[in-house]
Amino acid sequence: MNSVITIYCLTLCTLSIALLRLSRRRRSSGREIARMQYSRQLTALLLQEPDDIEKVAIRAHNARERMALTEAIYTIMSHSYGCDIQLLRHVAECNHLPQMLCRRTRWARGARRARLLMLQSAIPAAENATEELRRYLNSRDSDVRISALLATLAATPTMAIRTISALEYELSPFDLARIISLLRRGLLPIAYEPLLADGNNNLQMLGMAIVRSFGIEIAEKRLHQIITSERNPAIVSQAIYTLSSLGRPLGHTRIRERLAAMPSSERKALCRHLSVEGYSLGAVRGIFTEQESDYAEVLINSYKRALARS
Amino acid sequence: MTLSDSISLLLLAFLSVATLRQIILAERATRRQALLTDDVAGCCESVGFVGCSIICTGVSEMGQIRDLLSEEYDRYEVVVVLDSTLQSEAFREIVAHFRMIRVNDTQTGELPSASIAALYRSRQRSFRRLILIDRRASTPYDDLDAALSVASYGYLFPIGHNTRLCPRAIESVVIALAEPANSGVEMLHSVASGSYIFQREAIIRRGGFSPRMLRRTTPFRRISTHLPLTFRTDDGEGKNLFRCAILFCVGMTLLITEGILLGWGIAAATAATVGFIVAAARYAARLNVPTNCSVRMRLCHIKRIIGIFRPAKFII
Repeated sequence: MNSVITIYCLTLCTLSIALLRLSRRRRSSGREIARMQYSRQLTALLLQEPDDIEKVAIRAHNARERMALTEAIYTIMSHSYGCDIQLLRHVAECNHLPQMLCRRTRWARGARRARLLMLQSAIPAAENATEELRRYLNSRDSDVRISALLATLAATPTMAIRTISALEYELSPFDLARIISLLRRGLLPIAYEPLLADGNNNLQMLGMAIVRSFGIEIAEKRLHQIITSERNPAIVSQAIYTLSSLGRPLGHTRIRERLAAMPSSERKALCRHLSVEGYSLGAVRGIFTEQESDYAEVLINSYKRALARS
Repeated sequence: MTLSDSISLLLLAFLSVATLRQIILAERATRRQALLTDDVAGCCESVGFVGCSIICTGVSEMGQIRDLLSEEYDRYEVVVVLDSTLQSEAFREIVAHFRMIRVNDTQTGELPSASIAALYRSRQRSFRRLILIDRRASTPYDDLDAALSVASYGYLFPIGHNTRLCPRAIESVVIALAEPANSGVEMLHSVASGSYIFQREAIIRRGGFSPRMLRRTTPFRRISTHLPLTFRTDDGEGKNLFRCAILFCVGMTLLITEGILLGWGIAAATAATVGFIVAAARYAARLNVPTNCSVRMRLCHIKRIIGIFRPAKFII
């Protein structure tokens, strides 16, 4: 009995000490410091705009530094617009980062694999890596799937529409936002029009997300067509929200008919949304029932200064 | 080896395994959050038009309100409920600091308990997401009902006294709620921090906030996360020391009693288990908020670790 208790106590003591050490180390991880140093070096280089990229020498000497450099490149790519991609790609290739990422991705699992795939969206893909990336597109883990999709889109931007239309699952709003961030970085040359005209739900949703994100008002006609002809209520709802985010009028007969077919909770949510977006009471009265309009009136009035004190 | 020794050891081992499981789940959830929220900075728009209103009861401290307002998510607001007669100084300070003006406050009639004396919004663009409600002091649940009646977004996040949001908590919540699979979810429960996010319409259907509202939500309409969404700050150094001293004295007394009754071997095993749970709580508390590891937060984590059954009451 004593030996069992001794083993039990020793195991727990070891685990406790390990946990305490880990919680202390988390605050100042060595890789984090290296990443910040690389970020600073890369930012300085990008601001200098060197004439000869070949002469740029940022070296990572071991696995930890290579990972820190990869993360630094990803951070800069995802937080900047119009930076010199060639320079960053040169630094990545000099340090054999694409090969390292491919190798590590093969051995990793779960969130770690998803993170490595996400980093690959900022680093040029290694030769023959595209096929491997496509394999992860059908992973059971949703994080791995979307990270693989981003890496595939970044590696083969010309195939973007075909890749997205071939997906067997529905993209979530956050997945769409991540794809748009690729677009904003200049890595994905796709236009909104073919996406809106396509029959594929994922492509239509992406098209509407692009319209919202870039405030493309000329897409109004196409959105009206979607509201008129689309059968999927989720797509219709998104089209109405997209129109409202553009600040366009919603009083068309077809939109009113579609709104009338919506569940009351969704109509109420849209009513609140329109009040927050700054639609006038007259505009709201034109599309909702009297009861819903009264509710909207209370909300809209709550943005106006009370002149009479009770 | 007596039967009581075996049972005691088995119970302690069960507690240790439960603790280890909680750490693994929290670690996994934190890693997933880091993965998702790294990309949030690059996405300059709201996620799927999902919005979240923070509804506060018992919150009058300026630092806490400023902290809540510092969230960067687009579709987000903070509704603070105060009684201007009881907390007149705090009320005046908030109105002056955030340059708030009184606005029209006609009732929507969604909840009978949501009576409002006055409603204030900020004139300053940077604080437009703050709404202040003046109402006579009542139960926290009635305060939350009043906040619900003016909230603009579809999901409500109740916050109490001394509670702060973890970094990127709102983004994590919104990403989870925007998933197509979670479209009909009425409640999101953070197991790690004991906080809840409710769907606005579901609360109205149930007649408002109440301690027993958790029981009324069907299991398939609720989701849980092991990610801490909130953390609690300490009341002060003095109270902290006092709390620690009391806990230490009670713990030592119990250990000595156990040693005398069951034997010193079992007492040593209990001490090791308690030490492990405390270390695990410290580790879990620092996972998401490395700078904050208050005693209250650690106690909260210990409570979650050893809590086997789902909470039956909603306590704010």
